[in-house]
Amino acid sequence: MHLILFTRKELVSMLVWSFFSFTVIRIMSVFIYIFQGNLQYFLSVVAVYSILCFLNYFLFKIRFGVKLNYLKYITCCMSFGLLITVFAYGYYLLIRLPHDHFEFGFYALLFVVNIIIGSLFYLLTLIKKRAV
Amino acid sequence: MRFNIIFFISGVILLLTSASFDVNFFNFKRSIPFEQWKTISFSDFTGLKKPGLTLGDVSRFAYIKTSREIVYLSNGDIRVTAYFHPARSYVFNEQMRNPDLLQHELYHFHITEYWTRRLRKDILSYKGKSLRNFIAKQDNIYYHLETEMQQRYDEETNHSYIMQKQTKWQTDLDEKLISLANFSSALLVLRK
Repeated sequence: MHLILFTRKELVSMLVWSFFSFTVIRIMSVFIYIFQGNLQYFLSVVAVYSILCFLNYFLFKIRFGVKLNYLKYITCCMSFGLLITVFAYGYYLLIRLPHDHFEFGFYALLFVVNIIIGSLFYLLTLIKKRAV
Repeated sequence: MRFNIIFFISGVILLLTSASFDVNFFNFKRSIPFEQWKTISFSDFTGLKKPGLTLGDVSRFAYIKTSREIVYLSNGDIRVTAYFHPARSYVFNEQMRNPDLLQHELYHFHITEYWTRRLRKDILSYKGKSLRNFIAKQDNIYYHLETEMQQRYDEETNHSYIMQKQTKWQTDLDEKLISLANFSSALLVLRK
């Protein structure tokens, strides 16, 4: 028995959205970099990262008419986090100089925080449904 | 499909824009090794200053990016070079481009070269077995020492504004480099 969570089209859509989100976070970093290393920077990135990830829920609805259940949604969030990290690492490999370090810890923390915040956002969609 | 194309192309444009603030590839100049430091002028500082970065926020008037590169050649020799990266270095504004500031920034490059020569000296005098491990360890130690020296240089000279300190640092660094003149060549011949 095969457990197929997403179709090929959905996977491609997730890949493209993750790439686009990575570039949004990067351009945002250019403008708020002055806070880099501070809590404000981290919170700003977390906010944008989480919102972009949560938009996947609506993208699936609009593009594929699919209402994500929690399993699919969390898998989506985890894929989003992994892809962002992969893109960020690829970017780092392209522009790095000797003694530059990739901040795996930063992306790992973003990944974990996003799962938590993403779950909270998902709860909100359930509450809204019940209110209706 | 249209969604994918639109967001992919938008992503590429955003990425190229943000990447230009890390390395200005629109006005790219190749890295300059230390042996050519006298040819460097402010016109070589082609990097892009990040938006919103003002003098009031950070204590910098210009930014110079230098690094040390170690290349292991196929014949057993090693090349250890200090580089200045024009596309990653910038000046805050045109009015600041004066000779004193340029001199100050170039002596940041001298600091990189000093620690590079120290590394070359260590490599040439190393008699142990695992040379690459030794080089990696020493390079890391000298990187941290260099970072500390670069910071002290900026603090004590206040970016060239304290002329007395600036002159003292320049004299000290020149003496340090002269004392390591035997290790000024980037190419280390190690093959027997």
